[in-house]
Amino acid sequence: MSHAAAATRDRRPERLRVPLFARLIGDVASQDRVVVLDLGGCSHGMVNLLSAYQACLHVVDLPSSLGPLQQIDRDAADAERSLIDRFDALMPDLSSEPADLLLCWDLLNYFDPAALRALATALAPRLRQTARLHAVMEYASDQMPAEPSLWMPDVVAEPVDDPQVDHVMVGAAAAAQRAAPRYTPRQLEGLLLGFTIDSTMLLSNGMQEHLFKRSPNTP
Amino acid sequence: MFNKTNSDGRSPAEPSVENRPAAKPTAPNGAGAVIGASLNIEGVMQGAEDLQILGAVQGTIQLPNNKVTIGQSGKVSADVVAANIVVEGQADGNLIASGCVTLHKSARVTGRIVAPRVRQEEGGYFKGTIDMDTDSEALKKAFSGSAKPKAVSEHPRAAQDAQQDAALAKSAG
Repeated sequence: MSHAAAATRDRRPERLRVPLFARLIGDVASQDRVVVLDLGGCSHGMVNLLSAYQACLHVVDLPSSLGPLQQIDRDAADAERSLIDRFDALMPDLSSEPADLLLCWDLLNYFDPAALRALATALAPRLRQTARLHAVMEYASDQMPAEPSLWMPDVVAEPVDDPQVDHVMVGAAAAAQRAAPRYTPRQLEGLLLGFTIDSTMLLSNGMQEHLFKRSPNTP
Repeated sequence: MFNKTNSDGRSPAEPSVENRPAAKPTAPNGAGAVIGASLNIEGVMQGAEDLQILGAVQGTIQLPNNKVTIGQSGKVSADVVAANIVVEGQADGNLIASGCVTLHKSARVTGRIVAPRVRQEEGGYFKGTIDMDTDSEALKKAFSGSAKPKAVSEHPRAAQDAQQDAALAKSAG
């Protein structure tokens, strides 16, 4: 996709092939129990997908809290602590059972570097050492919808025994646009301390799909 | 295994949901008990009949062998334990079902759902935790006090009849 074409990319609802997400779901299917921390909004697709498994799904719905996060003064002396505290308040206590899988969808595009660093700090005690982080980042386009989209696995409405999910439905985006940060995987590694890039795929809509794993010896 | 499928192709949760005869409502209209839209109730509710909530309820609802429906006008801020729970209105709290929790498109739910099966219609809102593990500790704990948490295929009246039969036999003896 050319840069010019990407800048005006159509953001109507779309069905998108997401190979890394499919791999993730395929991998966890062999586990006795999986704990999923979904930073996005709750989608019936995700609920119906996980209903086939021994799963626990934590829905954080961070998109509904972006406003207060962005209002924190980044120049204040305690800005980092304030951001961490805000993330801590928004997320469930998973000390008794940390998550195996963290779903960020396109949310990381909406955080500045300070927020990404704070998010990584808040996430650390909530994830297993073997946990993986899934995210989809703007790559080709220098513009993106002003608000995150709703992403959901494209599965049939009824729970099925062995769901094959290699597509997601991306909800309609707001007409308003804003500049895309276009974080590279290396930049994200530097901001999300404790995570290292595992795999990256370029999607058909020009976005990049990332899988991160936790860095060795991360507390 | 992570997957809930049994060797016979059925989910372990299915026998308690699909093969269970519907709990026989005791209300004359066949709909079970109804909390009307103008009612506001606080406290603990226990019993053995289906319940439809159209008003406001705060507290605890314990109907482990029955179905609880939170209608579109219903506003529940409570811990609900039931065989099946259907939400069309608003709920805030713990919804624990031995069978299935269904969130319709008009549902607005925050809190914790514990059930082997959860269904959500497109448009329904949920924020919180959904635990769909059939071996979940919360599920075991919630139904440990009921007569037969896994054998909800039996109508609760059957247990009452058995107790009465035993009492009659004893008195006759």
